[in-house]
Amino acid sequence: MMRWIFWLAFIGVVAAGIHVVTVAALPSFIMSRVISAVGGEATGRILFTDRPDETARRVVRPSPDLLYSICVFDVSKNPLRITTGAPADTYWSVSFFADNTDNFFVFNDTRAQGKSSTILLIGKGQQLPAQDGAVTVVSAPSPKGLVLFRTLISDEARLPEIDRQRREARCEVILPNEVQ
Amino acid sequence: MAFLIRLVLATLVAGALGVGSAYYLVLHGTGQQDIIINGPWRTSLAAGGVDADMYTRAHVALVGLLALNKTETIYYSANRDSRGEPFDPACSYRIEGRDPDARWWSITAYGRDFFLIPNPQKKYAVGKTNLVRAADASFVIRLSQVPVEGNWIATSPDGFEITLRLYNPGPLVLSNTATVELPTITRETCS
Repeated sequence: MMRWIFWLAFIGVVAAGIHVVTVAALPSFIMSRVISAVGGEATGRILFTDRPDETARRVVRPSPDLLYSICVFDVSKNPLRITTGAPADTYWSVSFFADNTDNFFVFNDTRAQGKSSTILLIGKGQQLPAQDGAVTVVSAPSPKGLVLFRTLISDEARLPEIDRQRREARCEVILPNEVQ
Repeated sequence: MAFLIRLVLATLVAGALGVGSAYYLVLHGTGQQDIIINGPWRTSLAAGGVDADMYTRAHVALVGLLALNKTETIYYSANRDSRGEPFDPACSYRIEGRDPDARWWSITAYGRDFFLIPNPQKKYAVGKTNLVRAADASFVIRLSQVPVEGNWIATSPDGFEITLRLYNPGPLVLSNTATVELPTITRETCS
């Protein structure tokens, strides 16, 4: 009897531990797979993906009303400069995700007041690069992560124009000689 | 030797239980502490935010990766009608309501794999900017496998669920997430 109780207790404790570890590790595991999947094409530069349809299978629940652009960041060595486009008369946003999936910063067209804007993403302990003009500085909570641009197709007739305007966005690694 | 065999077997059973229970709770959102229910719709204001508990974070990673935080977007999802009956792929459904309090909104159907449902018409979603409204500003959207006139979203014979996105939600939604008026979902005919 005591032997059965021991093994049941053992299974319960180990199962509980594995349960917690699995739940805690799942976001980083999934995020790392997505970063690996797009990383080759989008590390330090933007990947402008096509309008989502049933063939869009990199990230779950895509919205077919949005045009997505994505770049992978790795600020472990160098900061990243993100320049937004300024698609007119529609919603757009640029959102930053840590390697555990947390959305730690969002910047949208309302805040940009219709203008192209510059955002500097820096890692821990990094110096700010020299900049001309106003910039928004954001500190990344993890060395790696994703920057996702969303642009709403507010009018099907304007799709070519909106697509062209969203492609003005940039993700650029800031090299050491640009740092103050 | 017998002890070692029991140890290995017990560890395997514990591993299966641990991983299986984690996957079940995360997939169904059962472990989340802050689920908000509004009629047939479910949401979590912590989704995408840095304050999310570990179950919410894992749930978002699995079924809604790269979700925005609540001030930018609120995501309601539904896999049941307004009577609480699970969606039946053999049935058509009617979504009725008025524009929610948000700068832009849309309703999108997803298959059981959480991707867009293949259909020749490419009717995956209906949103604020392409919706046909009645004279009193109300709307009806139909969910079915077979195309119908008017606002229509294709469903899948393998099962589906829908997501209501509210971009830049207004104060009415943010402060009354569980009670704010959202579209109703009614089962119509079944084949």
